[in-house]
Amino acid sequence: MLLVSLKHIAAKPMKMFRNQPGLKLVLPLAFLFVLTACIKDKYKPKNFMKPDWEQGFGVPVATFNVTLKNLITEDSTLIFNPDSSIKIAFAQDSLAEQSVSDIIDIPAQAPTSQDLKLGVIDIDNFTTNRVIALSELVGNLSGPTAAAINAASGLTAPFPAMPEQAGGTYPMPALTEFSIVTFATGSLDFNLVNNYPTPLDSLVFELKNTGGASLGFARFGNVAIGATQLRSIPLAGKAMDNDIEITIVKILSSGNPIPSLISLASQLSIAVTGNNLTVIGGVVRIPSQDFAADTTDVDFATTDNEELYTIDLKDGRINFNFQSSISEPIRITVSMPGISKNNIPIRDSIDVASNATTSWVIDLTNSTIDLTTNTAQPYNQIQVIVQAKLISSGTLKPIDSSNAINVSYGFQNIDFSYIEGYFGQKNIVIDPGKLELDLAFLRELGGDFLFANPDVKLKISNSIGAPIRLGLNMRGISVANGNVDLNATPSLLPFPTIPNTSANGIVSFNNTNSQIAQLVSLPPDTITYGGNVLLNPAGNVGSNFLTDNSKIRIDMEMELPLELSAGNLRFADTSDFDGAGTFGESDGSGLQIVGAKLVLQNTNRFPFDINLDLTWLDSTGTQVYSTTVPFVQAAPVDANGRVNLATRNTATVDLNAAAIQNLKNAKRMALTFRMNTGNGGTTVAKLYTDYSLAIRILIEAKVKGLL
Amino acid sequence: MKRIYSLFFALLLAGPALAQFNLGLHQFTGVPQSTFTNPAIMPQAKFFIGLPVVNSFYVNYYNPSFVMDDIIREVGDSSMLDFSKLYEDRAGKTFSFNVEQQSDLFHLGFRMGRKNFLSFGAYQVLQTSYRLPVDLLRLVQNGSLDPYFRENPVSLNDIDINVKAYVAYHIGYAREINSKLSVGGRFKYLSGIAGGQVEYAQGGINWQTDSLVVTNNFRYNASNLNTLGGGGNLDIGGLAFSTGNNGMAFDFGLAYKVTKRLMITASVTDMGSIRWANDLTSIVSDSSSYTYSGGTINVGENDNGDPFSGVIDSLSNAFKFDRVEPGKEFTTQLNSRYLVSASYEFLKGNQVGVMFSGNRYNEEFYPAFTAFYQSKIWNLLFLRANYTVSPGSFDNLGGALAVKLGPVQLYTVADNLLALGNQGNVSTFNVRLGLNILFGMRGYKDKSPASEDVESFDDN
Repeated sequence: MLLVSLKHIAAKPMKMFRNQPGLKLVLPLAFLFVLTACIKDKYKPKNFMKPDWEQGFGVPVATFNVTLKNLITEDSTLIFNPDSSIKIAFAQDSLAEQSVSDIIDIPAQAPTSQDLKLGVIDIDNFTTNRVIALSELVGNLSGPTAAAINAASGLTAPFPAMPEQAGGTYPMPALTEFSIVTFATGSLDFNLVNNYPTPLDSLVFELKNTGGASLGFARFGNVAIGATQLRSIPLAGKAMDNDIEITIVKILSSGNPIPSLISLASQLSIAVTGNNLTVIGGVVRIPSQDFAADTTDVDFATTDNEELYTIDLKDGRINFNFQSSISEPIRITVSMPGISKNNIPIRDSIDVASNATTSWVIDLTNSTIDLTTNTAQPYNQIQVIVQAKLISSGTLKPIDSSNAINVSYGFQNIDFSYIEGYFGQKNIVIDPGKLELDLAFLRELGGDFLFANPDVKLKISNSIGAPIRLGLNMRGISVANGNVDLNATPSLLPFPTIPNTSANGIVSFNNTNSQIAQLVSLPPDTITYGGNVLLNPAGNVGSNFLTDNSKIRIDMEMELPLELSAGNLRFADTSDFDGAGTFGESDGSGLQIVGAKLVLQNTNRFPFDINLDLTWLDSTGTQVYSTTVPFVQAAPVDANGRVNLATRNTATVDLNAAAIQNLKNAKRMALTFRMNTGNGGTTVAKLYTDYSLAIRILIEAKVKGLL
Repeated sequence: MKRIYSLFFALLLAGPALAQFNLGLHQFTGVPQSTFTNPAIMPQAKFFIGLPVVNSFYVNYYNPSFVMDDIIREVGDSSMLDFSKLYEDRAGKTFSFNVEQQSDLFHLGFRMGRKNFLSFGAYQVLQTSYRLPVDLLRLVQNGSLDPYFRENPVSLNDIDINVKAYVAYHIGYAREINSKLSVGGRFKYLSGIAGGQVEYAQGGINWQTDSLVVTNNFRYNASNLNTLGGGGNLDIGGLAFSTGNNGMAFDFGLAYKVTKRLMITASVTDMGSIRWANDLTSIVSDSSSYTYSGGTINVGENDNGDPFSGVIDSLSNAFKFDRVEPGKEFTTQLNSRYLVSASYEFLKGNQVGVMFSGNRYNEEFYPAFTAFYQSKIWNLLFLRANYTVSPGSFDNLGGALAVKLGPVQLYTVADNLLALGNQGNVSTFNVRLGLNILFGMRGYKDKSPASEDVESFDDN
């Protein structure tokens, strides 16, 4: 209540106070008037001038952190290692790939043809007998002689002498072995048994084709009573019919003085037997017989004088063709002791009908060819033995020794799974190509640098069982800096000693055996490559082998640790710069900086001596001011070549009034870091992503117009 | 005794003091406003009216840290601010100054019988006090490159900005208990117009060339800040009745007449507080610790920005203040004032006396010691001279004058008249002036302890 009352009491004056604002100022204004009147001029605000202070402010403006990690971008080529080291890694698969077809090619083999001639044919020996009774002989003797004998016939009396005279012709039984034949060899043996009662002083038979030509004479002499004598008539070259006769062209006997029974039935027995008869023609009953085996060392053709020892075939066949002009069937047996299938030498029989043509195929799938069976040439030779056998029909067949069976055969569709031999010295060209290696960032670095430990590794995977020497040509091409060749020493590549295995190995190109450092340090715009691989560079020092899957593959891995000596490398960066905001408007309005000092506190963890160029640009890109920050020394490195301490220094750039006036128009600030490794760019430095350069820019400025 | 002597001087030489109220008003009973220093001491007028607005206007300036000549340098015919003497003399310390203004809106008092006096009224107060680091002035004038700052960061811990504007509606009552003792009290209802105080301020500025480290934990709570800041049209009348910012305060006093001529008094005034709850705003900066080392450009990563533009931005961030609305209710204590005095009327209408006074503010006590002489002539003219020693200020010669022309009394009271002549060395100055309508001063036989002697001189 009391408060309410007080408010009411005060309400009226308060209202007046509110409604008459002039009134409420009466006393204060009066007071101020009096006070102002009393204030000395020195303290009157109107006499105060603007302070002439020039404040100095030190302002940390910015810290530029330059880390190597930010300067370069990791990609598939530029690799940041777990230990922060950096490498340029580049891999190109199949830099070169040489397959079997590049090493050896099995050409189609020309067919081999041979004739198996029938030649001289054995015929079975035959025997025929003929007896000439005394009475039959007497009938062909001269009259006196016949009379004498007849006279004594039946008597035991001395046998009358028979003067020399012919004794008549006697047909022989017909032969069944042939109808007509021309002998190549052999003879007819006449086995004479004298059962006449008188010795025969001389007896000459002439063998003749009946009514035809003489085949020869058989001459006996002094054939005692009961004695046997053998005489032969050679038949070589003689044609004989199966109808022959013998003629006693001479008979002479002194008679038998010893009386003995003279019987006209007594006989002269003649047995005719063929002996070792072979024929060259005729119509003959040819007995079954084997031909002489034909053994041929067939050349296995190669394309480049390779000397092949063994071939395992995945596929292949031998096509045979038999053409027979023999009137009897022939059984051909083909043997190839150098070709085995399931470890069993190939041997096959083919029946060829008489006077017919027959084809035959021997499948060589999964067979092995031994090409060394010929000791005189223990390579590229396949022994083929063809054995023919005549199969007799038991009938007379016209034959001729010139009759033959032609055997032709050839390897076809040879597809090997393994081949062994000496493949010769072959120079195989590596297809030229271009490495897609992007080293743009190196080019952007500018300056000169040389990689200290470049390493180009060729990863070799070789399943070709042969010594191979690689001659890799590589050329770095730089439009600006020319060309540098790798000049790598040819390298022997690893090769397997066991089929179906691969020999893997690494061939490295480094500073000791190539100019790889110079090549990649160009840096090249383009890297081309080519070259060759040389098979058996030392000649035939051992057998080579291939499988159908053999190949040599060369992948390339290039590793360039960023370990280099460098001179005048450049990193540049540009940032916005508000010159007017920093140093004041160029027209002098607002806060003005009348003098300034740029203080650059540098902490260098690069193993580079560094100079910094600071350039300010106006909105048109025109330089308005530039300066170079003094030398920043390279950071020291430890025994492993890694920076272990930072070097620090402070550089000062005084900006005078003219410079500041120019900088007021600056819109951009460009920083260019020029880097050299120690000792004028000759010391090798290894780079790590955590290398850094911190440039702390401080401004100490004298300001005018702050108050 | 020696201990008391030492304590006395220690208090005088203590740190910065806040504004003292009109010390020249104490026991200057010819002016009714003297009851503000001790409600037990009745004014000589039987009835008085302080007319609205014009009855009392009081302004006080107190700066224990420096004087004008410390910060002003003459350059020819002109003057220029130069803080160098101040920041050299008070390096690492704070400077403070206080400004207080009070206007009585209405004041009325009258005796009730012989032994009672009742008064009531309303007045408006604006009190501001500031405490800021001197090193800030060095930073402003010299910048951070001053070598001083290499070793000495600027402390922001002791910053204090206290503003109170309020209207006090008061009712006072004094009673003569017996012929020697009088007691009095005053109740004040306080309606806050606007106010603000620092809740906490902790931090510092360590500005080196290569780094700027700002620790800035600061909270300032304010009420009606929006109103005060609304175009500068301060409607104090309207705000005087604004609801929400309420408070109360009490004055207590006693006067004891030891002998007919010797009187001692004691009083405590403005014991109270205002709870600010209306239109609250908090200004907060909780940046904790902000280190600016410049922009960072990671070359090849974020190099598109302008690192140099980051300077201002970063400084702005370092001193970023958030305006939080609604803010936080807060309470401000009034500047309690204590006063004890002893006076001796050695001649009718002429007194000499001493008094020891002090302000209590924020748990600190700011003392002053005053000796005075006052005289009256026929109840028409009241004169007073006093000399005050306060911390950092030893040349405060004050005076008071009240002239009664009929019922109208004009008066003025000032504690440092020398300031008018030596403005460059003034650390404190206050003046009160006003106009009262008085009745019942002539022929009135005052039996109160405070006036009995006067009357006794009249009797003599």
